[in-house]
Amino acid sequence: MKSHRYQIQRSDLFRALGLPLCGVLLIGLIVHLSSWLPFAPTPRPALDVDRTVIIQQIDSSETTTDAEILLIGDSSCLMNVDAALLEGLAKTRAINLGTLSFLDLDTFGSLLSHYLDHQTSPPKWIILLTHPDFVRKNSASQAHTNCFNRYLEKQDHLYNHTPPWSPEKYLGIHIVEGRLLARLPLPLNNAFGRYYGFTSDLSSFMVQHQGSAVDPRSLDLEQLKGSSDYRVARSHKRLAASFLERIPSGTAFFVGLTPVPKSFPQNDFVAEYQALLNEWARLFPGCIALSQLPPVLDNEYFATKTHLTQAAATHYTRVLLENIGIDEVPTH
Amino acid sequence: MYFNSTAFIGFLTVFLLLYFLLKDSLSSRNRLIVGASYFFYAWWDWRFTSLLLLSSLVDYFVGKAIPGSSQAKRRRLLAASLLVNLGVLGFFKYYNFFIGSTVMALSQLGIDVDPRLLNIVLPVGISFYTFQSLSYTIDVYRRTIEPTTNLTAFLAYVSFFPQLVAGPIERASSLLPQFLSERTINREKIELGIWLVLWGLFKKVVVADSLAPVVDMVYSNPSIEGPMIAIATLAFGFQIYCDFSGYSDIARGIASILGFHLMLNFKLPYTALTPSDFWKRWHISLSSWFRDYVYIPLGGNRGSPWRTRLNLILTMLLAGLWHGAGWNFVLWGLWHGLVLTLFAKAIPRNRFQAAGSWALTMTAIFYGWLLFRAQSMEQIWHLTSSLWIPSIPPWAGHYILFTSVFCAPMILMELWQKYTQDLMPTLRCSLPVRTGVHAIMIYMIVLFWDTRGTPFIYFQF
Repeated sequence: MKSHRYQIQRSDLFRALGLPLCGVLLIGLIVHLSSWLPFAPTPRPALDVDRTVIIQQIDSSETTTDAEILLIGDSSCLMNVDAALLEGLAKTRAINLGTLSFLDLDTFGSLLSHYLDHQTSPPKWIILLTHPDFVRKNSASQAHTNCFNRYLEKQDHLYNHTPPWSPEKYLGIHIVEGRLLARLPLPLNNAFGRYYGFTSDLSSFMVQHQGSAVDPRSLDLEQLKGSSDYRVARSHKRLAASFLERIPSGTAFFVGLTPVPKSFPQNDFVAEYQALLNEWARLFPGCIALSQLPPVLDNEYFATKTHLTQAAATHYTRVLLENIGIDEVPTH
Repeated sequence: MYFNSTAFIGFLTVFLLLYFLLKDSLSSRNRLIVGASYFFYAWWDWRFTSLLLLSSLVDYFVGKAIPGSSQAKRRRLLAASLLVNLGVLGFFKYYNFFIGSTVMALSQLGIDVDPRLLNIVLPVGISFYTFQSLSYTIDVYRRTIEPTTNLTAFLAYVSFFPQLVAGPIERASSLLPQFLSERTINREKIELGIWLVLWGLFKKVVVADSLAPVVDMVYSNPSIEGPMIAIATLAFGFQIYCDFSGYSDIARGIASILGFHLMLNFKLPYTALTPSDFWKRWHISLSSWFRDYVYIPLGGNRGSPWRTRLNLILTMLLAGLWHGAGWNFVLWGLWHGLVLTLFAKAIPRNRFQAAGSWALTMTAIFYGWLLFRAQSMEQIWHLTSSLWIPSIPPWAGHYILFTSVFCAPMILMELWQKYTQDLMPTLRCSLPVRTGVHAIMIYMIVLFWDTRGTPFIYFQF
């Protein structure tokens, strides 16, 4: 017995499926062409927490004027120091340019240069603050580094490593995402969503806190498994010199390492921490190593293995300020 | 393998190529459907294909044995089918729930029992295919349909991959004959199929998946109080509707492209004027299943008004439990049972009454969604009691803006469908308009596509 009776022609199939697909290609072409128009919105792909932080910090580096204290570094710099509090305590303007996703010293250097390019006078104090995890990591996140660089160049950015045949690129999906969709307040996921709400709320929070943010998560003890054997990764050695060149003369340059949870290290971490800090600081000749910062803090102070809670960040900010001693430091 | 995943697109492409390149013979194409459906199901966990096969074989052989048997033996055969099907469903879906609830009840009485809870994984779609397979045996027992002697067709009927894991729950009288006779593929079916697949994917990928994080933002935040709970519940009502009806539409669309017809499962449910009208429009295949196999056998509305009300409440209670092994689902079913009995006589006679009845019905339906979405009885109490607290978080404006933007296309399309009295309005448009609307829908689907696919809410049932 036959399975089907066909009452259809090829032209019917083309009308039903072929024409809409041609329409999709036409939309893609229009999107690409529109992106060249002078009045088209510029790319600002703040689509999730990581990208919102990266973009917000680049925007801040363009709009913040003449901060005297500049913090730069990884996510522990972003989350562990409250720059607004620091500004209040030090009675001088401060900005935090820490980023959330794993970028490298090269990107930090670009961000610093971008900031300096928009200022009339350089900061008096620059503090490079990173977590020991950053120090031992060899490679940066390519997706986030690309996002950073492309946004700096005001170019559209294809976030994921899509294969060459992916329709996303040809249809201009990334253009629509970065220029239109990202203009909407987009919900953040999980704890970040519960604490901040939407991407634009995270941006506003960071503006209010001089570039600092709060990690709203709760420490999961599972995170505390793993190696606490820290040493400086080889890749940093290459990039440190280039980063150092961007520090303006006359600016005091500090290098510090943020703490780890007390129960995480397996051995005598205090001694290891000092050795690691010394090794790290040696990459930046002329810097001042912040050797009095606490290497460990009680687990209860942590939101994640690398980030402090909001209350602990307040405490840590005060400790940091005491360590900088802004009234008496020599300059770079 | 979700419909909204790249893996499924690959699977469907290969299947369609094989299906239409294969010799045009009913038996070989039915065999291909069975093979592909079992492959599709095995993608989740191959071990559970044995349950699907067990359920199918039991009902096939029971169905075959019933006609020539005495009344007593017919009953025994039906009981055997019910025992196997509901036994498997009960074990996998409800074992831990009943044991846990019993232990909790005993501990309230001061009796401590050490429960033996098992680490059971719920086989995806078990509630759907069990009900579909079971309806065949019951219909054969009732002499509503003749049993089939074609095992391949029966296996295809139970496992037909477009509707296997989340319905529509088809009746043998409607779907089984389609595996036994020549199917027609014409322009209308192809156009309908493409429209249903596109609109279903749009609802799932663009609307439901975008609303999921905003719903979660409130429902997973114990400190939220006040109007945001109502707004999040509204968002959840749209999320679950787009998620589930999106699945049903895709299932019906794929079936239509293959030359099959599956029943309509959703018919503009949020335009319902009364609760009973809502249940004629929402998950129609399940509500009609419960009507035919539970409510009517219980006596339906043939007894006293009180007996009718009790039958309604019992039926809805079971429908609630069908959705999930949790007290919130039981409460949801009970709530709908009570609402149905309260509104039993409600027939709006003019526009004002209709508007009032619609508003009351929607309030009841959406409060039901709060019960459905909550994770525990404590959360239901917290959400209900704090609904009236005038507390608004700073991101409320963004929340309302985002929710409105993503609900708007769905609401506009439904209004178009309602006022044209046509569920496929684009198909009646001129070719350029239809092409444009379909092209925009495809573009939006690609824009919001997550290659891994996000699960459909009803897969957990």
